[in-house]
This record gives sequence, structure tokens and C-alpha cells, in this order.
Amino acid sequence: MTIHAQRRGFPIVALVGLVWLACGAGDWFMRFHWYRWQATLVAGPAVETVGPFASMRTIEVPVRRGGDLSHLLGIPKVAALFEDERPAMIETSDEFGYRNHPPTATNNYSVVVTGSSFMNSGYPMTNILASRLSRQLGVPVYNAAFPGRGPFIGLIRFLQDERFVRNPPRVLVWGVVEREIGAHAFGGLLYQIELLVKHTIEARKQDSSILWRNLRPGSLKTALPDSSAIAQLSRRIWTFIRYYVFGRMNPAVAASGPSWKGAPFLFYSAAVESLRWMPAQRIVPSVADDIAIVSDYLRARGIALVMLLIPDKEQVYREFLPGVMLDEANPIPPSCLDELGERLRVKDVPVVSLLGPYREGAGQGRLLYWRDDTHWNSEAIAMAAEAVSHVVEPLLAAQPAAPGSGAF
Amino acid sequence: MLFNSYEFLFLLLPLALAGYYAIRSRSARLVLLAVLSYVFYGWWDYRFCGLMMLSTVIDYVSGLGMGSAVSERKRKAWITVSVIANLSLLGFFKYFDLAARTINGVASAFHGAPAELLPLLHLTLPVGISFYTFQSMSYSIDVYRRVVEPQRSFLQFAFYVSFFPQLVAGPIVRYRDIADQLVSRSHTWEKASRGITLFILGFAKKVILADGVAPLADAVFGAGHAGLVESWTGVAAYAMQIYFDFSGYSDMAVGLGLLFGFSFPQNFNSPYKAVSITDFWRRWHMSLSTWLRDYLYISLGGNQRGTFRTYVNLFLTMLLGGLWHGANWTFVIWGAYHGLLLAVERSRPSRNLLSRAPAAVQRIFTLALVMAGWVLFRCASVPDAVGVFTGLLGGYGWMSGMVSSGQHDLSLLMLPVCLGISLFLPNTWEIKWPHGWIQALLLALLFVACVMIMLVNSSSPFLYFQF
Repeated sequence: MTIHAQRRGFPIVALVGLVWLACGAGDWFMRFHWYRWQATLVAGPAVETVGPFASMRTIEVPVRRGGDLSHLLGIPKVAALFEDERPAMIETSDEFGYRNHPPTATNNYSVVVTGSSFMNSGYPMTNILASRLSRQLGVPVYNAAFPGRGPFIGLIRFLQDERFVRNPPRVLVWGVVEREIGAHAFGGLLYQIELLVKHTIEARKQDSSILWRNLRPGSLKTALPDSSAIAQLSRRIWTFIRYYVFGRMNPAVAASGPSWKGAPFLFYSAAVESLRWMPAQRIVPSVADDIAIVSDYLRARGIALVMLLIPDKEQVYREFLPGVMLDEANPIPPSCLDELGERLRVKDVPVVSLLGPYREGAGQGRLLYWRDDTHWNSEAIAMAAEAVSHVVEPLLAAQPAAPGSGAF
Repeated sequence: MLFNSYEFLFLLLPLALAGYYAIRSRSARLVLLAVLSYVFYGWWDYRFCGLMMLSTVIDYVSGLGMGSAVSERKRKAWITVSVIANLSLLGFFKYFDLAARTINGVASAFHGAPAELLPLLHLTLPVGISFYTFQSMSYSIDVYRRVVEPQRSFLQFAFYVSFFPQLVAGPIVRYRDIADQLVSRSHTWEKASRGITLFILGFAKKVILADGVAPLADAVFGAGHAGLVESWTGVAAYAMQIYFDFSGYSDMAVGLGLLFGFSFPQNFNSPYKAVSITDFWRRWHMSLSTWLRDYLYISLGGNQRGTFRTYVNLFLTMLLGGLWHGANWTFVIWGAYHGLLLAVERSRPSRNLLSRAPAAVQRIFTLALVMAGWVLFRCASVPDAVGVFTGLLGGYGWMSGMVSSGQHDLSLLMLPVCLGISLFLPNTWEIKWPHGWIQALLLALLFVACVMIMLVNSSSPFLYFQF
């Protein structure tokens, strides 16, 4: 056989092999270099910080435009149609990694606010719920919200926090957003609390350990594509093709049907899907039971729980949902917040539901959420603070000081 | 693990190729590939590996038993053990709940019968069990028929059963086709080049063509009351989806085999160009149809026991072939439908009205019959299938508006492309692909495009994984 015949096929093997190796090797390199995937595999040394941010952090945040929804669009020209400006601000975190002005370590707090990103959002920091509530009540209020991880981690961290074991607040305000309410999420809450407390204690005993659970097939199946530079690039390219060739935006967001005073705003598709959950899926009675158990546990520690129920933007502005999100065969049912609120009141859990006030506000022509974001704006936070203060004030007056809670 | 997944393309496959070509020892290579094959299989659920090992051990021991048996009675005993064990495993994990539901349904018609005569076990179906049990059984039956000698090396036999390219969705490789290759096979640039070409073309068929039309099929079959135009569009989309998905996977499997020096048989030969149902089954999932022919149809007597018995054997073979595809009566009806069509074709005179029609007419007619069968194949229940058939006949009007160009523009664009490729162009085995640098560049670009599409869509499972 001639050399030529022997090497027939070499170009394909060589070139495709080279491209495949380059893609693979390059992607793995970027995974460790850019994405720092190795940080997800090692627990790291025990840290004192319990909050979501580095401790004692001060960042000068410049003026910026856009929110979580407009960022999903991926095309600057399109996103600009919806974006609003956020003012410049100084962002600080306290000694424990929470979004408060330090120092907080030596303070005693009568009221603590926790929950997910809603409870943590506000521009500037004087506008976050804890700050507004503090001004409303005239007492220091601590922000223990933990953004980006759902409604439970903030509560769990609060329960584990030795500061609040030694000096419990009189009231804990726990904010939960409508789309987070479902028995499937709340069902394991109590078990998770117990488990996470145990894990945290164990983790703090070690300086570092390999997180083997992140190397299981199930975890790798999501982690490898998600931490791939090629995947990120592919998604960006597809975003442009989808818009400029097919005229469609990212299906995760949709522009409102009618505009708001001449300017359209964005909705989140997943939120509309969650609004469609039927009672059999949410199992509100079970959620109320779980919350009541948490309330009883906190009461035993001398803390009164106040539940803050926050409606989704898509619920408050239903009339503005675009046609593409509506389905006559599968209409959006009434909000679950009314039922949940009622059940919690029956169980003696103080409740503040913002559904009614926000719907009324929307009817009065008030925009209570950022046009380009799923979160509430300053006006909505002010309304929330006022509503919460009406419920918290009597509790502060009635609740005896817990042992070791100190002055105030 | 899926072929079109990140962890396969950039984790397992590089390890497999690097390790294979770094090792010189033949048996060490088989050990490496067998171990990685079990990793590949266990990626879904590690417990399934034990089941596959059990099937492997049973057939290995049966083969040795038949080889050392002196009397025909003992040989028969061993083959009986193998067949019963394999069918029991398959039957239990795949068909127990179907049998229970059916028995409970029949029993409920009688007064006084318990509400649930047999409990439903809700067993997780081990991925690919239908494939590897059939593959393993073919070895035992061939040993019994003295077509092949028993394999003495457990390593080689375990490798044969578990080798990852064809493990979970075929092609069903006969032991006789691979026996020599286990001991000695060539590794040439041309073979590797052909393997890469088949792999990339199969990859493109899966992520571009099959996944491209899938939303259209899902929309129509999900709604169940589509208008006439939408129904035919949706059924055509499903016909394209299942063909490109499955044939694409088979191409990838064969391509991977070639990278390791193994030549696997062709599994699809442009089935939608068939001029009759008989022709269709010579082109569609050929490894299964030949398996059914050689181990079921011929065992039932084939065409050697008279005309009527031939029709019965055809019908039974296809009925059981349908049942193999899934634990649902729709699959059984689908199989019976094809069995009936085969019997009818066999009963016709060789020169009939259809055979005298132009080839294009015969193809269209055959394709329509096949597409009607796919309705049963795709639907989860008989009432659902009735709903789709009603739509195909115009029972819900001309258009119901569920397929809109706004939502399904990409699928509507891909559908005629798929139809054109499947009906008019040569298939991947017929393409005489030159081995030059330009072709290499085109394949490399196609590979990158497929990887990018795969990563945008994240992983979607091959349709035949449910079998």
C-alpha cells in the first residue's frame, strides 16, 4: 500500500482531532482559570462571615442601567428600550457579610429582616426594607437577607447565628415572594434546617475538604455545561440569531402588552408559570403548617415571627401581561397569597400581605416594580415598610424582652 | 450518559481514546474500554450495572455450558436457561406494571374482585435493557445453533455486551459479526476518518435535524385536537424526528466503534425511500428486524409451514417486535399494524396495482402508511391516538391555530429540509466522502456548530433510550 493510501483519512483525523482537542482543552482551561470551578469543589477554611458578601466590604457603585430581566435579553440595543437608571451609591457590608452599615457587632437589634433578594434590594442602601423599617419604627433593624438562594437560606442562617442566639431580636420579619410558595419547596424546610445546621457545624470543624457531592454524575451533568466557555459563547450567539433572524427575544422574558405610560416593561416567564400553579400543586395548607412550626420554634426562643407576603410583579400587573404569556386553555388562577394569609392568621402568625395594597396602587397608576427587573422599587419598599411597621409596633410593645437581649 | 452531552464529548471520550491508544496490550485495551463502558452506563444509575453484569454472566456461563455439553438435551437446557433468564429480566423490569394494570383492569370488570389484584411496582426501567438482553441472547442462540464457538474469555464477552457505542440504543451487534474483531482489528487513518465522519454527521442529524423538528411534533401530539393541516405537519415532523434521532444515534455509535477499530453493521438505509412495507423493514432498524427474523420468525417456522402459518408468523413477529419497543398497548397495536401490512403485502400477487405505479407513488403510499403507524408509536394511549387520527382526517377542522409561525418558525423551516434529505438525498453510508483538507474543514466546522447547538439546548435524550 502506498504512503498516500496508508494516510488516506489523515486530514480529517488531524483537523477534526485538533479542533476537538482545542475546544476541549480550551474549555477546561477556562473552566478553572476564568470560571474558578475549583472553588466549587473545595469547602475552604471555616470563616466567620455568615452573610452573602465578604465582610466589611465597601464598594462605590457607579450609575448603571438595567435589571435582572433586561440582562436576560442579551442584546444591548433591545435591553435599552426597557432599562431604567440606578443611582450611584456606596455599598457596604458589615462584619458578618450582610448588607448593613457597619459596625453591627456591638449592636442589639429588636427587629431583624430576612428573606431573599427582595428583602435585600434597594438603591441606595437607605432604601432597603430594613433601613426604611428602621426609620418607620425608630429602632435599629438588622438586614439578614440572603439574596439569590431562595427564601430559606436567610432564615436558616438567622437560626444558626450565634449573635441572635445570645441576643435574640423581639421580632423577625420573614419576606417570601409569591413564586416561592409551594409545598414542594417548604416541605423539606424543617428537615433542611436541621441538616444544614449539622453540616455547618461539621464544616466549620475542618479547614478545607473536597466537596465530593459536586463530583457526582448528577452534579457534573449541570456543572460541566454551565461552566463551559463554549456554552456561554454559544448562548450569546444564539441570542443574536434568535432576535435578528427570527425576531424573538429570550423566551425567559416578555415585554408587556400595553405600555406603562408610553414605555413597555418586562415580565419574567417563569413567574407567570408559577402563577398558574393550581392549589393541588402549591398545597397552601401544608405551607401554612410549616410556617406555623417555624413560628412556634421562634416563639420558644422569645422571637415573634411576622410573615411578609410579596406578590409577583406578574400578579400585580396582570392586565399588562402580553398575549404570548396568556393561554385561554390554561388561565392564571387567583393568587395564593390570600389563602396563605388567612391560614396563617388562624394559626396566630402575624401576616402582612402586600397583594391588596399593591393591586390598589397599580390601579391608581403607580409603578411599584422596576420596569427592567423582577424586584420592587423604592415606592413599593416604602409601602411595605409602612405596612410592616403597623404589625411590628404592637409586637414590640407587647413582646417581653428575651433573656440577654440587652437594652432598646 | 448521552453521546450529545458535554461529559461524554469532553470527558469520557478523550479519556477512552487517549487510554486506548496509549496502551499497547490487546487485553488491557479491552479492560479499559469495558471499565469505561460500565462508567458510561452507570452514569444514569450505578445500580443498573449489576443487572447488566448479571445478564452477561448468565449468557457467558450458558455459552460455556453448551460448549461443553455432550448431549443435545443438556444444550437445550442451557439455551432455555439463557432465554428464560434474559426474557425474565426484560419482562420483569419492563412489562410487569403493564401486565399488572391490564390484569387489574380486567379483574375490575368482575364483581367482588379486589381493587388492585396485582400491585404496581413503578419500577425504574434500566436504560437499554431491551438492547443488551437481545444482543446477549443472540450470542447464546448462535452458540446453540453452532453458528459460533462459545467465548472462553469472560473479559471479551463482557466487553462485547457492554461496549458503550452500541450499548444503550444499538445497533444490536451479533456476536458472530464481532468475534474476530475482539482478537484482531485494524486501526487505520481511513477507518478513523470514516468514524469521525459518521460520528459528526450523526451528531448533526440529532441536534440539528431531529431536535429542530421536535417542538412541532410535541405541539401537535401534546394538543391532541389539531386541525388537518397541523396534524399532518405534526405527524410528518415526528416521522422526521424519530428517523434522524435514531439513525443519527446509530451513525454516532458506528462512528465511535470505528475509532476503536470495530466495524458495526449499518442500521438504517433510507427507510423513507421504501416502496413497500416489506422494503421499509429491510431499511429501518435493520439490526432489530434481522434479529427478529433470525431468532423469532424462523424459530416460529418462518415461511416453511404453509401460507397461512407464514402470515401468522409475520404477524406474531411484528406484534412482539412492537411490544419490545415499549410497555404500552399502543406499541403492541403498532406492531400488529405492521404485521398485518406485511401479511397483506405477502398475500398480494407480485404484479399488482401498486407495484405497477411509478416508484414515487409507491414511496408516497408507503410513507403515508408508515406515518399512520407512527401516530400509534408516539401517542401515550389509544384515546390519544384516536384524537390524532381524527385530526388527520379533518375531524377538528382545517386549522386550529396551535402551530404558529411565531413559535414554531425554526421547526417549520427544518421540516422541508428533513423531508428533502430523507426522501431525495443519499444517506450517510452512501455518501462517498473524500478525505481531503476541505472536507476536513467542513466537518470540523459542522462539529463545532453541533457542539454549540448542543450546549445551547443542554442535553436532550435519544428517543430510543426508553427501550
